[in-house]
Formats: sequence, structure tokens, C-alpha cells
Amino acid sequence: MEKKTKMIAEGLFELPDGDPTQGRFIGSRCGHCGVVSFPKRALCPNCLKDDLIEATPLSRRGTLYSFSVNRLAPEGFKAPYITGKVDLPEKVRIFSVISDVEPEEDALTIGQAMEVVFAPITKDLNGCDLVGYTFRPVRTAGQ
Amino acid sequence: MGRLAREVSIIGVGMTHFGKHPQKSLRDLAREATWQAIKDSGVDPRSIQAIYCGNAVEGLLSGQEDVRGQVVMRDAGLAGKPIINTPNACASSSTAFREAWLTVASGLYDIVLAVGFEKLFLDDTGKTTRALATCTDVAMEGNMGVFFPGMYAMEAKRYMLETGCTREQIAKVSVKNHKNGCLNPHAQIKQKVTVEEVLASKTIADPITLYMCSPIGDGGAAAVLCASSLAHRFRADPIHIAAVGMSSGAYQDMAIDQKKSTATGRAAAEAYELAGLGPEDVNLAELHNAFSPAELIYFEELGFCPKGEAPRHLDEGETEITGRIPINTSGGLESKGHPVGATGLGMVHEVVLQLRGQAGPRQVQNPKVGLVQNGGGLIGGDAAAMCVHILKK
Repeated sequence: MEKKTKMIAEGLFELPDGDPTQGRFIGSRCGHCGVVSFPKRALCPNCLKDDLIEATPLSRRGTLYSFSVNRLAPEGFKAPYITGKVDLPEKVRIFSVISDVEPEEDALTIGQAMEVVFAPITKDLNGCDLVGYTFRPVRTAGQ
Repeated sequence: MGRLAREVSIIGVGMTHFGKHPQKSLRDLAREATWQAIKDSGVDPRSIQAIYCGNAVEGLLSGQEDVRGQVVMRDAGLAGKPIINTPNACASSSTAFREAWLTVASGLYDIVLAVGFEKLFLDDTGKTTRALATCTDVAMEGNMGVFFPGMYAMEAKRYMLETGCTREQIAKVSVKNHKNGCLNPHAQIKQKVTVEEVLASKTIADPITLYMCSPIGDGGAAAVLCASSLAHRFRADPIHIAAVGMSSGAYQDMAIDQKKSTATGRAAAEAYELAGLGPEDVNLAELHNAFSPAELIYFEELGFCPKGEAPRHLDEGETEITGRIPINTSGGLESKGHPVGATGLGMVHEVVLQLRGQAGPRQVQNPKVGLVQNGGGLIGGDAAAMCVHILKK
């Protein structure tokens, strides 16, 4: 785990001991209204109070809100690739690339269970790996 | 909501052809639109008191990040006046229009100009694509693989799941808009298409195919606004600005189960309230269908029909030029084109022509009220900026 990588953005997630399999998104929970935000906020976007905001790790699993199989790609990504939005139990919706499936329409179904993967998703201008996050279908036991 | 000091009218509009204009600079496009609007209004250009300039991405394309409006107005003969820049992604020129309206409504100025201009065709299309990708939250979405057709495709998939809307129905939106665009001399793509051709065109991000996408383009559009009390000095048929509503996307900042309203819904509610009108009073509308499925979703968010029923209204021909509420008579973004910073004022141009009865072969029969809905950028799945203008004869 000595490899030089950078996070795609600061403060979105943490990797305990640098281990991606233990990674967690970092959101914030407001002690007044209980609303959870992602990314972490200094001010609650719901009740606008800032005195009881605490960082909170988010679930690694959620359900697929929707997805798109993209036949063209922006710089740094290779077509075809899938992007999607996943709803976490904390009522947060996260956009990411969907990994570990064939880029085909029938590879995914809206509403299915997904889990987060922390891994390099693109490179910066110097070719350095940027660690971000993707979601993939939850694998059932035995697969 | 507060009350405005006075009423404002549109007395002149102008626009360039939208399309590929390698022989024209950004300054040429802005100057051409500006002077068309000035001539159309009949005002002495020296009496224009301020200029509001909408442009989205020229800073990233040419390096002219700042004072873009001042630079183009240098060539349009209007230097020396207050020039206000309003970059707001694809809603840049609607934002310029709103600021222009507000300063006349406030009583500060009597006659102002709003102009939008954009030049997206370069030798390097990748550069344009990268620039447009900054119309998102770059850290949260832009760097994470955001792809605009894909973002619209995700919402379209949800819409299809929730309402039973089919691919054929989405294709029909594109067919209608291309048919309208063939009647518009300013349109970029003048080519009729069939449902079969739309569905057979290259898949970009299912259910979105190539013919459901707006093209990139070059263009300019402008409008001269003045206090309604003065408008009849310049022309017999001023178009009244009944309201401008504006909102921003808040999805990312709400828990999923709180997401009840959208930027379009909020901007429309503000506009309807200020105008004292409702969706039932609107006779035609230009909607921001950067991708065809969006037209159906926006049609509902603007209150033109209950949720899930837009495809039926489309099937029944209600959104055709001859229908109950014609949508995108100009050809819409798929056919008329989408030079992003000019798009909003291009929509205003169309609605003004329609209300004046000057839309030629695509003229709607005697419309009284027209609506423009122009969105810009995407944040957390909703428009970053959303404007809804209501114009009245």
C-alpha cells in the first residue's frame, strides 16, 4: 500500500489503513434535524444550523436509482461505459461510474442492490492514478 | 413576492442563423444579432443605456474568460455603456434577459439590450466537450465521468419506468421538432426524420439516440427591452414581459424523500404567480429539450398536463404547430440548434415572432401568451440554473 495515488477529491471518503475494501463515504449528519448530507457539509442544507454537524460514515450498499450505458466518453474515460445513481439508506443519492459489469443495457436493473468500490477511476494530467469510487452489483454468495 | 415598479416590453429581436460558421468570429455573431434587434426595434442605438451579455464557455475555448461582453460590444459600436456579463451555462442569455428586464422594471433604465453569443465549432471538438462538461459540479460530477446525454438518459429511464412512456414516443418528439425546424430559416438542421430513422440512428446513451440530441453550434441572439410606457413610440406591437421566474437545482442538498420540486417547477411557479397566469393560459412554448425525452418531462413540470400524460398529449398532436399547445415551433434544440449562450434569447426570438404573427409557415394561429423555459448546467441531477419567461401580446 505504498503506491503513490491521489484521491479524486478531498474529504469524500476515507480508506482506513489505505485499504480500499474498508473504504467508506464520509457524509455529515445534523444533530438538530437528523438529515444526512453527502458530501460532508459545514452547514446543514435542511435546517441551516451548523452547531451539531458531525462527520458520519455512510453505508457501502444502496439501490440503483437509474443508469446509462454511454456509447461515447469524455476525456479520461473509455466508451462504452456505464454511469449511474445509487440511493443509500441514509437517503443520499450518489452519482458514479458503474463497474464490474459488461456495458450492456441488460446488465443492470433499476432498483437492484449495489455496493461501492474504491479504486482508481481515471488519471490526472501527469498520469497519476486518481482514486475515486464506483458502484457495482452486489454479488450473492457463491459467485 | 414583491411588486415591480413598472412593466417592461420587448420592442426588438434579432438572431443569426444557428449552425456552423467558420467564417464568422464570436464578435461577428454578437454584432449581427445585436444590430438586427436594434433595427427591428427602431431605437437610436445611442439611447440604449445598458447591455447584458450571456455567454457560457468562451473563456475555456479562447482564453477570454473575463470581460467577454465588453470585447464583443467593442465591435458592435456599443462600448462605453454599462456592460454586464451573465455566464450561467446554457441559461446564460436567459439570465441576461432577466437582468435586463429587472433594471427596466426597477425604473433605473428605460431602454436596454440583452444579447447571447456562443461559438462552439472549433478544430478541436474535444476542447468544446471539455468546456461544456464544466457546466456541472466539476469535483463531484465532472471528474467522476459525467456525460450529459447519459444524465438525461438516466432521468428518461426513470420516466419510462414510472409512466410507461415508450422509445417510439420519445422519438416522436424529435420527429415533430425536426419537422418544425424545416420551416425555420434560422435552424441548424433542416431535415425531416421518421420515428424509424430516429430509433435507428446511433445510440448515444439508451434511450437517447443521435437524432434525439441537440447539436453543438455557433450563433447569436438579442432583444431590445424598454419600459412599456414608452414602447408604442417605437412599434405598434410591443410584446409584454408578463414575468420571469428563476430557480436553481437543489437536489443534491436534500434528502431523497424531500425531492418534491424541481428547478423548472419552482421557476414556473414564480413566473405564473408574478404573471397572474396559469399553464392553461399558455398558447405555445419553447422548451429546453437538449435531448428529446426532456420535452416530455418539462411539459409536465410546467403544468401543461398531469404527470405521466405528456406522451399521450404528444400522440394526440396537441404539441404540433396546429395543436392545443404547440411546443418548440422553432425546431427546438435538436433541430434549431444549441449554441448554448445564445439559446435562451433564441427562444425569446421565436416566441416574439409567434406573438407578433411573423413566424411565416410555422405560425401558430393567433397566440396570446407564450412561454420560454431555458435551463443551464446540471448539478446533482437537476438544472443548475433555470429560467421561465412568460410573454404576452
